[in-house]
Amino acid sequence: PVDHANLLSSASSSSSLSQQEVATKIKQTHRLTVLLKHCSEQLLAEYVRHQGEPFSSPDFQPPAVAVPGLPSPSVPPEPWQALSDGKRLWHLVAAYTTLPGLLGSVLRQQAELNPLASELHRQLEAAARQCRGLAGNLEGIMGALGVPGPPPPSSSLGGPPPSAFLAKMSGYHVCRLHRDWAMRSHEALGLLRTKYPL
Amino acid sequence: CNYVDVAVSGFPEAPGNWKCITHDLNRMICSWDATSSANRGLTYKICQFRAAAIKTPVSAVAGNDFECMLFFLVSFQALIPLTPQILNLSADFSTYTLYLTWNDSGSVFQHELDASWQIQILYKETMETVTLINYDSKLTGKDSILFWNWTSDIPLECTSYYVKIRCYINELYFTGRKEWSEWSPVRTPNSVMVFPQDKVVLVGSNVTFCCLYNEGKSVKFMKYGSESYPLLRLSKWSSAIKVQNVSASVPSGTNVWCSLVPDDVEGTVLFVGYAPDTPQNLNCETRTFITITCSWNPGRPTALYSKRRTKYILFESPKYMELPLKTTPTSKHACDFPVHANQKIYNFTLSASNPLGQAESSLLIDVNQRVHLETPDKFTVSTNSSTHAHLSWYIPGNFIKIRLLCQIEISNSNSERQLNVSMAGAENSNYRAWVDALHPYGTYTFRVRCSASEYFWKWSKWSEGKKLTTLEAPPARGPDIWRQRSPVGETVTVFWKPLLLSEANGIILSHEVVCYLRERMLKAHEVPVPLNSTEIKLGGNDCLISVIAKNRAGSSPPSRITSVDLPSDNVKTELAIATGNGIYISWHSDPNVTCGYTLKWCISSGSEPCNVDWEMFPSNAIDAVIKSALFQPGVRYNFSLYGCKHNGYQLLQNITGYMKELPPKVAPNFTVEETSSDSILVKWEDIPVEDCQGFLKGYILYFAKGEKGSSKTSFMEEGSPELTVKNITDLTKKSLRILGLQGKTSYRLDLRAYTVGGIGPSKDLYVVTKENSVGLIIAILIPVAVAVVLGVVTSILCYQKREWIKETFYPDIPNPENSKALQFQKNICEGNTALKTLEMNPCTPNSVEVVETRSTVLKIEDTEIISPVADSELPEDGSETGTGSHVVVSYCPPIIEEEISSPPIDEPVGSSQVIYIDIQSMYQPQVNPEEEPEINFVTTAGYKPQMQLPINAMKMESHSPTEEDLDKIAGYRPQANTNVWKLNSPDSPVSIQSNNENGSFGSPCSINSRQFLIPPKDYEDSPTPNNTGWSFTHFFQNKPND
Repeated sequence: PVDHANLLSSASSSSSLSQQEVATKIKQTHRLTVLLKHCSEQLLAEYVRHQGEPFSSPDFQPPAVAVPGLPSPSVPPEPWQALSDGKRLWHLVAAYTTLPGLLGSVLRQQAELNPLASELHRQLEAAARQCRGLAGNLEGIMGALGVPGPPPPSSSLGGPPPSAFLAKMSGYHVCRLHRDWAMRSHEALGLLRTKYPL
Repeated sequence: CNYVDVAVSGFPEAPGNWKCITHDLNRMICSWDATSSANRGLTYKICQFRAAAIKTPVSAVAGNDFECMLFFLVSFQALIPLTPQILNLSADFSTYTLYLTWNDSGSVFQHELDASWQIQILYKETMETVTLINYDSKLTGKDSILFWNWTSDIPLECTSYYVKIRCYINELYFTGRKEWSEWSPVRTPNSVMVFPQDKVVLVGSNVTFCCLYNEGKSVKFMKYGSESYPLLRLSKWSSAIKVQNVSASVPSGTNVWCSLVPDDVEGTVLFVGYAPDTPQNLNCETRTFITITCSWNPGRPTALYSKRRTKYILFESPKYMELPLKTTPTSKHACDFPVHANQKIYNFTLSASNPLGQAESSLLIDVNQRVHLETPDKFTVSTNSSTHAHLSWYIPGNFIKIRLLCQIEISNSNSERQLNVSMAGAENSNYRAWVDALHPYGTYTFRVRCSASEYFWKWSKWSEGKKLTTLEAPPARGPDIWRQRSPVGETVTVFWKPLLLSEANGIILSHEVVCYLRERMLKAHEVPVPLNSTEIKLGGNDCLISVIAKNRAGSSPPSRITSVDLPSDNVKTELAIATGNGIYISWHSDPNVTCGYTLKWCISSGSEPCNVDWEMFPSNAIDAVIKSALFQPGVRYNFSLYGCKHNGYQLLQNITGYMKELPPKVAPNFTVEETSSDSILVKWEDIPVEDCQGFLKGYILYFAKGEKGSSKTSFMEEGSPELTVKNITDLTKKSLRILGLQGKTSYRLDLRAYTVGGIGPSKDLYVVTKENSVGLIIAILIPVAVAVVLGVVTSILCYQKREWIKETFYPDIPNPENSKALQFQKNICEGNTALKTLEMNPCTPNSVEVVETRSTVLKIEDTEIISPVADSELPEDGSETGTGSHVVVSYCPPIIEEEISSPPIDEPVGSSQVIYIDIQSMYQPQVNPEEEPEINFVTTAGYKPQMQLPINAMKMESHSPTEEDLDKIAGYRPQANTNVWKLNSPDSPVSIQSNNENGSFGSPCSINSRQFLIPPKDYEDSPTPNNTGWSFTHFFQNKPND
């Protein structure tokens, strides 16, 4: 684990960013996570609205499925908070570099299944864009703190889904993961912000 | 070196089966077989040497006491990758494909390596190998997910499939043996499935769905959409539901899902829709002769989208050409088909198909007859004249083989016309046209549309409109003119009317007025607009006046008129007829009029000088209806009719008239000149002409009896019997005498004027006729005369009978027997003491001897109690103040007739010295017997006491000795002593009679009173005397009766 002092010293050595600038960057990124959290909830709601029962049922909670290449956000809160800042950032970046590809796959599937749901298409596109933006920001913070970044992601959901139901299901999982990661990132950036006040 | 402690006893042997393997080229895992079990306590020391050293082993064996044996073992070093793990294995039953994903665990190695994979597919319960596939990949130093799929020859549903995988790392620099990894555990495809998968069915179909699941799971429920259906158990590992009459699904299909225990959800999607409708309104036409555009309406929606949507194919037989769909803004579908150079006839077939069916539409066309041109573009208009315009526009397309027909629309503010132009077609060309017969200085809007000329199919859309104003031209004609000579004749004023816009051909800038005398120009005036008249000094000569209108383009032809006025005599004024919207004027034809008639009038508005206007008529005209926007109803206009003769104009006639006659605006002013007892003379004044609003036809006079203030409406109400109406049609009459009226009566008069337009407002007047004086005099004189005559006759009679009169009325010695004047018939009680001497029977004078001096008598006045001092001044009452002298009080005791019989019985017993007289007879005139019970109390209250008693005396009385004592003492009781009366009454023989009788009987009567002295009510209600209360209440009640 990289402790706070180490982070700072490495930050000052590895880049020219001042502590103030790092704090500003963290604050901006935290704000971005607020937006992302809101949008991800909207996206999930919009997604299930178009899939019919049982997806649109409020008590629909299928068991979580691990998506290859995407770190699972289902780490319980204590271990997650016990992680070092660097490790948390590492996980976040890994997730947000993977999510755009997954969201792109969902968009393609929905273009086929729900060709008229233009709002859903727009939100999926926007979500992918926001994820890329957030990943960029997070990488910036990691660079400033001198934390090594994760490896580049494997891109998408793989081959075409074997059935429409599985396509709906995998899309559901991606949207739900997106929401969960948005909450995680919001939480993580909030923690980081307290450590790097302006 | 590493040490491994093993207890060895005896000689050690070389370790057997020595083997070293690595999974990650980082760590070596070595293993060997321990030597015989007898050797315990052996210690193994393992040393590693470089490869070269191993190859040339040091064969030094320390065979000494230490019992230590050194073995050089050439190790069997091997690279065996970790056993790979299958992440996911799924099956697509529709395509018989298995999808495999696994992790290459590349992060185990620090650098790039070539990896080979062997995937084994097995099937049937016996796990026979179907295929063994090699797959190469590169490890990149980090974990990657690898994908692979395999398509089966037979449907996957037919049997069970199993997949396992192993890995081989080809590290070139590794000197040891390289081996395949272990096989991964066998994996079966995720076999929880719901069937049929992604099926497309027609609306109304019945569909059965089944859910297959693995061992160890059970189905909780199955739902179609949100609806649960009863489960049909098919086998141990499958259940089904039957859904009947499915309805159209949403774009993403209806989910059919199977909820399993333990927690799992599997499902499928059913797409329910319709087969494609027959394409409607298929229409193919060309716009450019380059492509034919076919468009159609898809008809009923299929509720199917994306890859299940309807696909359209347009064929042109015999050729086949599938065409892409064009997106159109409307719900219409369209696609383009190329026009072939030498083909006129096209036979199109449009086929629509989706997973549920197919439909077709056909159309045969001749392309030359289906030309629908594009909207003309780049439309321009221009002009360089006052009547022509040039137009130009562009139409895209190749129309060399046909002629075009274009329609040009020319419109201005009040007209619109269309012009058809036929022209040869060209290729992507500009087309031109020329429009004439435009009006100078006219503003026009042009637009154009085109079609094929020979076979009309459709007009193109109108091009955009373009505005154009033509150039100006000289005015088309001279203005209408008139002239008017001044009364003296020194000057003449020339008037002209402005030209109409269509005649002016531009903007009129000025008028030129010229006076010619025998072809010689006398004077020229240039009058700028907006003036429309000018004055010319004649200087004694008449001249020919010419007026020319000028605009920028030139001058109008001149209008001419002579200034000569011919003398006219005996010009009459006639009345015109109002037509409601104009004035009808007629005149007598004059044979000398050769060049027409002119009717001139003047309309004044307010204080400005009036505007001269005129109208000209041909010589044969004899009447005209003059209309003008300036004419107003109810306004009188004067016209002058001039005849145009060869040598000048002559005034022929004056005419006056209205456009519309209205009722007079005001009522005539009228007054009553004189009144008599039976007639009224009414006089009125003329109404001013401007208030008449029409030709006056007469007056109407209403009159009736009426007072000022009576409502007007009632006066005018029809059927009012006294209303008289007089219609005065003689307008010269200015007064009227109304006869036959009543004297001294108020009349209401109402005079109104009327015209053809109606009756005007009214004006009221009230007048009272005079009294008839003769009648009055007679009425006074007759009674006076009668009175005088009667007086005289009486006087005469009295004189003649004076002796008798004297004898009868005033005898010298009156005879009492005869003296009527001295007789007292009834009311003897009214008499004063002086008359008492003349009292006759049945009145018996009585005397009351007052024995007891102490006894005081109450005298109660109406409202006050008089002091005893005043009391003593009343001599006739003879108040017994205890002087001892006998005071005689006279009474007329009232005696009721019935009681007359009783006194003889009572007299010896009763100690009373009072004699009663008939009190009833006194009461009769006053009291109505029926009312008696009610007024009983009142009458009782109306007591007039004979004496006056101070209030303290009354109080004393109330404290007087007991009733028995009083009874014994009292002979006569003063009336005020009510106690006594009350006590006495029961003793009285009449006390048993009715109340009213009681009230009137047994009560003493004062000489001065006709009231009963004892109130009967008190008698009944108050057994104990309470004088104070009694007296006061009764004082007040007495008053009215007094």
